[in-house]
Amino acid sequence: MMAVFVYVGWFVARTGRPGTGLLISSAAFVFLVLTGGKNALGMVFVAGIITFLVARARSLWTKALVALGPLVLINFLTVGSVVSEAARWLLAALPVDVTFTGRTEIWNFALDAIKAHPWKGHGFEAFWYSDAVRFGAEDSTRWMVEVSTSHNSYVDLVLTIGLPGLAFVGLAFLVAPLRDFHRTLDTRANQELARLFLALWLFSLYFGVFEAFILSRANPMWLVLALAVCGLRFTSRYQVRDERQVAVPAPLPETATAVPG
Amino acid sequence: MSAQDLITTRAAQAEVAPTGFLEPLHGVVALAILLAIFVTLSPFTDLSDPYVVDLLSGKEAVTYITLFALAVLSGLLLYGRLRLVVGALATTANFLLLAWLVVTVVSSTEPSTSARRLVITGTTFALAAALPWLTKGLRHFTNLMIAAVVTALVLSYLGALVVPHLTIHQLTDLIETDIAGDWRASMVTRISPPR
Repeated sequence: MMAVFVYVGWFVARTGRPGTGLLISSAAFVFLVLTGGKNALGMVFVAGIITFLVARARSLWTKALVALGPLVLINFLTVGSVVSEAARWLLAALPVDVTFTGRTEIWNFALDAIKAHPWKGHGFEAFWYSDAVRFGAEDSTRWMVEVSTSHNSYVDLVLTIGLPGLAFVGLAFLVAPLRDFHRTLDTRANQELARLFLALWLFSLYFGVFEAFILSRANPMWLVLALAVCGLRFTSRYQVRDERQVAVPAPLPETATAVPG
Repeated sequence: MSAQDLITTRAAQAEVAPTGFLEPLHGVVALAILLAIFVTLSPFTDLSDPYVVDLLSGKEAVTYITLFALAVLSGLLLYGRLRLVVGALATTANFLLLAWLVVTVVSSTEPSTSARRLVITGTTFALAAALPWLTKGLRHFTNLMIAAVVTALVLSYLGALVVPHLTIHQLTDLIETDIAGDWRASMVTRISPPR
């Protein structure tokens, strides 16, 4: 969550309170470093750079390539390394822990479990801690009983709601939000808010490579992703009320209304 | 008629603005949602407590009841404007996903567990959708975010100073002893895989 706070601080700074924003971002960043969460720390920078590039890309296709291309590549290099010789060969050339702190073992286990039900999955949020895992574990996989997720949102989705489920999540949470950002209403408040939601959306998608939280109950990162996706939708359709312009109301686009926040 | 056709610019602008004695309550509920997620109801988890395993397995009844209550309250406060919220989110992609999720609940290896968790997931999504509408504008939204984030940050730093055994991973913890010494925020446990 500290990574999310870094972006909130950046948003606060951009909306007219640079001192407060800088303080929030700095405090969150220092705490993030002290947690030792290398993946979250790395993704703060990766998602930050991609946010910057997506916001400046003109066409929807360029935005899609910049936003989602690296996501596919990172998934290939991480989860893909479990099954692909090419991914392992590429990974060996990079200065990273090729097991991703033990995640490859979990991914291997999860990919095996996916083979049992690739289309309908094991059931919504019904794999980890399930009786099948708890009582079906052999000695070599006994440690899996204590694992709560597959540490990759996309693997977890296929595991629980199958390949069609992953495709539908892709439509609703990857394709639609990007299109919505492309259609953000051209007011200052809409643009500022949409930029925050874009950063949170991208961070969630990229952090999802190492943690599983998409559609996951009351997981704080799931709320952050949902807020970003809904926020991008709203800022593409409704004009955000900007209290800074109370004296001189901005003209409203014909098909837009004002949405608070 | 599309959802956009239902909206008539300035007339609708007046309609969506929260007014009356309930107006302050909108902000209070929005802040409560942010705090419930950013800080949680049990910010300092004792990882040496055997009960922590229950927490991690999703048996956080109090949290779920609180979120559900906040969702109901948000719905009541936004009554009359819900068509704007739902109208924007009533997309083909969302309907397809929802329909498929119901299929995976019915065909689940543990249907009752899946059904319960789908309700919780949907509640969280509803809270996220309602949150922007509970604020009065960009400035108000930003102020609430600042309040929630600063609260979480202060609690996290204070926790590390005052109750380090609850906010810094310990060798005596029942889980994640391999990252003993690493800080953990007041609200979220970073679950690491076995090495």
